[in-house]
Amino acid sequence: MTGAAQLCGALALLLSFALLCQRRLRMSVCLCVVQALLVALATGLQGTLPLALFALLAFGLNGLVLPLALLRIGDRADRQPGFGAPALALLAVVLVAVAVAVAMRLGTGTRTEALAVALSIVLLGLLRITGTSALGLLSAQNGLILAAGAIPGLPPLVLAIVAVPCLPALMVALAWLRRFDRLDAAPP
Amino acid sequence: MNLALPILVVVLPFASAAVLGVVASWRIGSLINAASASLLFLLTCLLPGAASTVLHVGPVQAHLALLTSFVAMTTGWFGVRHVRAALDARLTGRRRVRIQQVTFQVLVGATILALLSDSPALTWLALAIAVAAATSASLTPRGAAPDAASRLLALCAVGLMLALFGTLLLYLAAEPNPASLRWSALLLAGSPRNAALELACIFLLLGYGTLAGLVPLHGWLPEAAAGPAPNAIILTSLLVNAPLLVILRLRGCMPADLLLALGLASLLLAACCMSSRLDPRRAVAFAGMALVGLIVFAFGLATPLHALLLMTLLPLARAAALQCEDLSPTRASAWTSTACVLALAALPPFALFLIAGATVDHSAWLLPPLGIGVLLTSWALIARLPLSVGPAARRDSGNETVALAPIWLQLAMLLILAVAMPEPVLDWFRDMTISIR
Repeated sequence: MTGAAQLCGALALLLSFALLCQRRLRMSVCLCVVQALLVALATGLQGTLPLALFALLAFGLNGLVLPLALLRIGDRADRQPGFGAPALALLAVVLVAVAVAVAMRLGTGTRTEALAVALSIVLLGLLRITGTSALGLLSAQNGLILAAGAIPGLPPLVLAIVAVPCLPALMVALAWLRRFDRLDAAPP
Repeated sequence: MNLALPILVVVLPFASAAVLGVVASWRIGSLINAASASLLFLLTCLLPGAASTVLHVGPVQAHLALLTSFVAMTTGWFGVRHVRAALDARLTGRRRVRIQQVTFQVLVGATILALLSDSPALTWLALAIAVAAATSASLTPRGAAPDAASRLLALCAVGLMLALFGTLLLYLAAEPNPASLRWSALLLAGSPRNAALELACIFLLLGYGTLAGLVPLHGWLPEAAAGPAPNAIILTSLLVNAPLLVILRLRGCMPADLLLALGLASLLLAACCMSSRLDPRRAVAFAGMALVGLIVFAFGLATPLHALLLMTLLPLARAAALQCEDLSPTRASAWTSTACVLALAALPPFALFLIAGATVDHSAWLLPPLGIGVLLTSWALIARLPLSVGPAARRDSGNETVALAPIWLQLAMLLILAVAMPEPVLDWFRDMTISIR
C-alpha cells in the first residue's frame, strides 16, 4: 500500500466517525459517497488491473447508485439510538481500539494497517445501523471493499461478492417498500 | 449422471422458483411446490457417493441435504393445505401466496447450496440469498410488517457482514494460493494454523452464529418464526444447519471456551425468554434456539457425533411442531400436537443425557447451569399443554389423516433416531464423524 492509499484509508475512517455523528440524511449520504470514493482510490491505487476494475465497479454501485437511490427515496425511519453523541463516540473509539488490537495479531506491516482500518470501518458501519440501517450497511460495505483490496490474489467470485453490495441494496429496497407499502395494493 | 447430480439438486429448487413466479393459480402453484420438493427428496436420496467438481458431497453434506429435502417435502405437502386454509380465512392475498411459494423454493435451494458448496465465498453467497428471500417473505400485509422485515434484515446483515470479513481473512490465511481455498481441503489437510486462520474462525463464529440463532444477535429468530408458515419452517429449522455446518468444520480452530460460553448463554437466554404469553411459533423458535445452544456447546466439548445427531433431530422436531399449526380441532390432531410439543420438550434433556459425560470430563461446574437451562426450556414447553388451536384452523376439513401423516412420519423418524438407533444408522453416523475429524 502506497502512502497515498494509506492516507485515503485514514480519511475514510475519519469519515466513518463523521457519519456516526451526522443525523441529516443528505449530509450522511454525501459522506458515504466521499467515503466510497476514498476507499475506491485506496484500492485502485495499488496498480493491478483486476483490482482497478474491482474498485471502479464497487464505487459505481456502492458509491453512486445506492446512495443516490437512498437520497431519492428519503429513508424516513432514522431512529435515534438509545445513547447520545458522546457515548456513541466513546463506543466508536473502543471499537476502533478493538479492531486495531485484533488486526495486530496478524503481525505488523502496511497490510495489517489496511486491515485494521477496514475492520474499524466495518464495525463503525455496523454501529451506525442503530440509526439509519441502509447507510450503516453502505459504510460497512466500504470497509469490506478496503479489506478485499488489502488481500492479494482473491479469486474473482470473492471480488464480485464484495463489489456488489447486495445487503445494502436489500435495505434500500426495504426503505422504498416502507415508503409505498404497496406490496398488497393489488386486489386479491 | 453422477457428476451432474449435485448440480441438478441445487438447480432444481431455483428452477421451480422461476416456474412458480410465472404460474398465476395458487392451486397449481402449491401442487408444483409440493411436487418439486418431493422430486428433490428423491434426487437427494441418490446423493450419497455422488462426486462433483464444483460442489463437495461428503457424508455429512449428503446427510444434511437429505434431511433438508425431506423436511422441505413434508413442508411442501403441509403448504398445500396451509395455503387453502389461509386464503379461506382471508389471512393472506393471492399475490402474497405466490411470493411465499417462490421464496420457499429459493430458501430450500439456497440452504442446499450453502450445505454442498465447497467454496467459502459460495456458502456466504447462498446464505445471503437465503436472507434476501426470508426478508421478502416476511413482508406481511400492511402496517408494521416492513419494520419486522427490516429488523430481521438488519440483524442478519450484521451477521453476514462479520462472516464476509471472516471469509476474507480465511482467504488471507490461505496465503500462497488463495484461489484454491476449499472447505474440504481446509478440513482434511490439518493445515498449519496461523493467526489469520484463528481470527477468521472467530469472525465466522460470530457471523454465522447470528444466522444459527446464537446469543448476541439472535433477535431475528422470533421475527422469522412469526412470518408465513412454510417459509418460517425452512428458515428456522433447516437454514440453521448450514451455518452450524461451517462452525462444525472449523471447530478445531475456534477457541473451545468461546463455543462453550456462547452455547450456554444461548441456552439460558432462550430458557428465560420462553414465557407462557409467547405465541406458539415464537415459543418453538426459542426452544430451537436453546437446542442450537446445546449443539454449539457439544461442538465446544468436541463430541461431533452427538452434535450431528442433535443437528438431525432438531429440524425434524421443530418442523413437526410448526406443521401442527392449522389442524382442525379433532381428537387426533390434539394428540398430534401434544406429541410434537412433548418431542420438542424431550430433546433438551435427551441432549443433556448425551453430553453429560463429556461435560463432566471437561469441567463439572458446567453441569448445573446446563441442567437449569434444560429444565427451564422443557418445563416452559410442557406448561403450554394443552395447546389451543390457531385462528386459521377453525375450518373442519375431511382429509385429516392426509394432513397428519407427514407429521407422524417425522415423529416416527425422531423416535427411531433418538431411542432405537438401529445399527446401520449408527454406522452411518460414525462414518460422518470420521469424515469430519
